[in-house]
Amino acid sequence: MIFSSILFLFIYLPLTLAVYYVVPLKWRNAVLFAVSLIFYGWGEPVYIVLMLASITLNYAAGLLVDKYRDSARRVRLILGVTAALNLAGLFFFKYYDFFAENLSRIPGISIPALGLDLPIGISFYTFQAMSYPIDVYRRDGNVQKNYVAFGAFVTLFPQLIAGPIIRYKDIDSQLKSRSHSWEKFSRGASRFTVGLCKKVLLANGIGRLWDSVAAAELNEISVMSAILGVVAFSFQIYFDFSGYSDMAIGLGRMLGFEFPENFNYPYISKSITEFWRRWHISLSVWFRDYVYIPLGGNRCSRFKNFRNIFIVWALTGFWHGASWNYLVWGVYFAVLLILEKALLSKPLSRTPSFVRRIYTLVLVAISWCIFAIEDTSRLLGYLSVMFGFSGAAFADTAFLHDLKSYGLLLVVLCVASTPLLKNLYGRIPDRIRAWTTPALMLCGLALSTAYLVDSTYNPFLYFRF
Amino acid sequence: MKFAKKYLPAGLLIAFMLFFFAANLITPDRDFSEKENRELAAAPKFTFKSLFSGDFTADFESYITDQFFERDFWVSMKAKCELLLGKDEINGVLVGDNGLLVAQYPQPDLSRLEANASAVETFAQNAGIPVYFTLIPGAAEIWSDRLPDTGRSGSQADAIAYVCGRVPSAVKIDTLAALSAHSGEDIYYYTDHHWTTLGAYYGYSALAEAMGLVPSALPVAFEEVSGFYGTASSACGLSPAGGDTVSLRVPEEAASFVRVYNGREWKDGTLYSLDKLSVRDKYTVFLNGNEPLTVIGGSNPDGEKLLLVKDSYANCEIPYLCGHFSEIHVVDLRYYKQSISEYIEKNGIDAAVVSYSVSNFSEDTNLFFLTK
Repeated sequence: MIFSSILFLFIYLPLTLAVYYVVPLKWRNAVLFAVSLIFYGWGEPVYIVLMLASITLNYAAGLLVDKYRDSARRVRLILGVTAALNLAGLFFFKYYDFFAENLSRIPGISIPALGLDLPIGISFYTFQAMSYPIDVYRRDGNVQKNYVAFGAFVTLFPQLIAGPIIRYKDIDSQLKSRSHSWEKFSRGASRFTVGLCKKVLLANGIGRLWDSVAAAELNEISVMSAILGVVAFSFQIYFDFSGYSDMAIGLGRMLGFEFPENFNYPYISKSITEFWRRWHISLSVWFRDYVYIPLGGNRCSRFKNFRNIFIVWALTGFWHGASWNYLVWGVYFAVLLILEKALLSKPLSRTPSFVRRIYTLVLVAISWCIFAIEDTSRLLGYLSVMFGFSGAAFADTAFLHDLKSYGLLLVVLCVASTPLLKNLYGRIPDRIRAWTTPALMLCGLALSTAYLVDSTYNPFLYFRF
Repeated sequence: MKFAKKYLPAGLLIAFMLFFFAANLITPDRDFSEKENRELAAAPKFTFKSLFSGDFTADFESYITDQFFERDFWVSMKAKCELLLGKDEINGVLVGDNGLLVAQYPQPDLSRLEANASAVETFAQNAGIPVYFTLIPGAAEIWSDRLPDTGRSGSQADAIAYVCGRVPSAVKIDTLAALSAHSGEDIYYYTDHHWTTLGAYYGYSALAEAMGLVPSALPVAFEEVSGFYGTASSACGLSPAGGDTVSLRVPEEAASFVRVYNGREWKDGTLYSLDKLSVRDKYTVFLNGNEPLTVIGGSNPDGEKLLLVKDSYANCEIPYLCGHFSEIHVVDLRYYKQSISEYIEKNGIDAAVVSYSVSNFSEDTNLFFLTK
């Protein structure tokens, strides 16, 4: 199930909230666990089994780690086996076909592909569940003896399929006790509405533009169309993804949770390093805590530090999908991050802010080409059109028509990518905002409903994650 | 103020969800959307098999989206927002001058065009009777100057040239030129993808001349009904004030009899189903929409027997043809799945016309039945 659907908004969510608030406090984790399994199993009921296996594995590992924590050898064995099993599940469902296909290119090797459907959100919840035994070992979180509470943590429907990735330590205490209040529910409701509008009105709106450019033959795309296309995709992926995170955070609050933020206006960054502190924060933090720092982080030789950056971003890329382009996308960022660290930090600090912002946006836009276009020859062709190497026309009718059709939306997207509106809105006195917020929410909900009812276009972008 | 800040956002979201939850529960399901002119999804039947295959959940989602409370209101609200944003293309429909709504003709799939052309060519070679072939361009082509140029539309003129070059054995009728000569007249509906009876008259004249017949003069309309909102209006959710007017020109008496075969049995029919003038899709007044096989007695007993293989465009052209033939056998390949060559032999057909709109011909997958 996805949040941006009539089913979720008008059937699943009201029923879930009703049951959740009707039952006594001590039953609420059980309710969450049950409704989250329904949410998860809605599209693919069989994969509930996989989910339960993942929960049971990590639940048991947590108990064992706690029991044998004094024996370093045993704990290492338990953590090693658990991580291996978690990753084996992820590998089997997500990466098996990729390796089968690529290894089969070597003469003499032939591995048939399985063609399994990727279980939705597997990359998100595997990472989330994996963090638990490690957090228990590090004493960052307490051991969870209650299977239902642990199950609720792993399956928690607000962030199950598209993040934010929540580490066990972020939520350990909230599983035991969390406060429910109208004030918190209200903050959650308005945050959810913001996210819904970002996804349904902004991301879906501009996504059509990218789709029509992506569907065109390369020789029919002009330079400006190619540029406009990647601008459109940049907006689509940001508003789609951050919209999902907003909805997750809002839903979390409505259920009494406080989740960490996942995006912080990434497109105003002044360097690639800063971009990754603002983009998909929960994933970067996960890799930092469980890969980068254990590898030595930056408290080691310069060479090892660069090696660590390379490993982490190659993995980050590959996490996004089992295809070469995602790996290239990750490595592209690794190279940029290492360059910024080794050479560019001084010159960048002397450069005016707007130049640094343009530098960042251009490099990020190129990265989105790599991300969005899986086919390598098409990607190279697209880049050469975009940079004017292919001899394509500078502009054409399709470009002018798109500019007219999407111009207003693009202006809205530009403004919404910066904290400008939020800051301006914050200056309005509280007593006025108390009334304007619900009024704006009503507009947003009505418009989103209209666009969902006539939903000829409502893609789910993370089916490869 | 404290109260508003604390309770209003929560209350609003809860009220919004509950209102539509209840409204959807209470209002009875509709089978058919007049406005969108399509069957709406019905509640799926629950079985464990359909649950585990994922069919149940997918069907359930289309069911609740289709049956959403006041669906038509939301669809038109979305369309109006799109216009405000500066869009001139909504759900694949181009929004032109004076409320003109025309489905965009996309870049055609050349392999589909080629396959369909070769089916017509094979038919023309083996039919043993003269075969006439007409491709009817739509408003997207003839009225392109009144429509926005998205830069991504296909050319129907190019498609016609491409197909006609591959059908040397049939007599091609240049309906494109015939309609272009009258592009200033109301030859198409403003909200529907079909041509009007006026457009069909020009198409008929070109066909008659190619067959060596003298076309009759344009009859004055005996019945005119306004307020017609067609498929383009349904697809995009916009309903320009007034709508279209459907004009009936050739009187019912032009046909001596109409027999309709619906796939199971023969029934008596009429050239016009006048009761359809009061439903939303008024174009179905012509020949009662699309039937697999219709046999019409013409008013010229000495005339030839004609086989007309067609899509819905021909439905409003057929009345003009009645005066020239003894019988017209009308076949719609989307519903008629038996051998055409046998039919020709059995019924002593003298000539055949293959008549399709360019947009249908570019997508239809039933033309191979011509060769059976």
